[in-house]
Amino acid sequence: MNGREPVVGCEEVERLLFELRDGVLEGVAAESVRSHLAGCPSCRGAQAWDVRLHDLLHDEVLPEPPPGLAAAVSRRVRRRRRIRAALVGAAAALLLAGAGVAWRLRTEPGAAVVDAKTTSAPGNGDDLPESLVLFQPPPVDSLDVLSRQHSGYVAVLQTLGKE
Amino acid sequence: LDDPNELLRRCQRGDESALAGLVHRFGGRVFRLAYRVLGDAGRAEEASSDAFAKIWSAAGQWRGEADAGTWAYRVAYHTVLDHRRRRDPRPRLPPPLDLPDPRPGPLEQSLRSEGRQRVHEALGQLAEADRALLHLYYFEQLGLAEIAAIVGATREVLKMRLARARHKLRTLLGDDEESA
Repeated sequence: MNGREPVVGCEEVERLLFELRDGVLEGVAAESVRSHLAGCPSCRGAQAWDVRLHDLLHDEVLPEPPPGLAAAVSRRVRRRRRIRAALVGAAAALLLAGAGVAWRLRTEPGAAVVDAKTTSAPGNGDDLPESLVLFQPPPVDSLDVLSRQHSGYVAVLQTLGKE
Repeated sequence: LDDPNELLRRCQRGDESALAGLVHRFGGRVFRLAYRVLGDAGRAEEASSDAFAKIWSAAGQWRGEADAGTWAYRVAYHTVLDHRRRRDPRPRLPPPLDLPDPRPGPLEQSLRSEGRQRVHEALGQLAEADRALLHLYYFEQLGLAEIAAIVGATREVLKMRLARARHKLRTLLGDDEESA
């Protein structure tokens, strides 16, 4: 080792072996590693192991990908696309249904309203006016919309289940 | 056109035939990595097809800073490791190795007829991330810069991890510095 070469330890040399092999270690750094290797049996052993490991692993025969891989990828992509579309559709339908119900409640103030004065008065119930509505079911046409949406979800889920 | 960058650009535009081109170009690499990490051809196929589906759905995130092949391989690398964790959070370890008599040199024995099998078994005892690193470096012969980009580590950290994995493998095979 001459005076210009930095002193490197075994741990550093073991890491630099990768770069030495890659051919990216040049100049003074490469020289210092080579000098270290010349005088260090332990690091020479590590270098020999590196070469042999490369030979063993590089020559290993691993299975080839199955011929249907591209088709499997295509199926998976399409399935994901359909699921995403179904989820977006379901979310949009739920939003619309919620907006519809909210709009109905606003335009029909009598629905689902409890008279605060009546409920705050304790009693046996005989004094409740006949016209008071504690709960009113949603209008028939709203139920029809909800029913058709439900059928739509079931159809989508059945389609997905068949695939 | 088989240029990975062009294929990935076409994927960004929704061209499914470009995805098939990527599978044709990188399917072997991705499948071999999955096989190395998962140790089973069926699971490797599932992980590989999942990886390419993710490459398809994440294609819009590619901005061209990295080569398309490296970028795709990075997505595949993380998908494969996710599959390993999801399916088998605690890796099954094969039975301990029947270590050879050190006098003739265990490393030399490893190089004989059963050598490759022993290395394969020893690799099976490493953590999946270490196994993947050794595979990328020694089997696929990728450079340090590319592996660093794939695994998302700095070059220095990568060298440290590779050296550690290599050392563990050597220890598992019963070879130490003195016997080499």
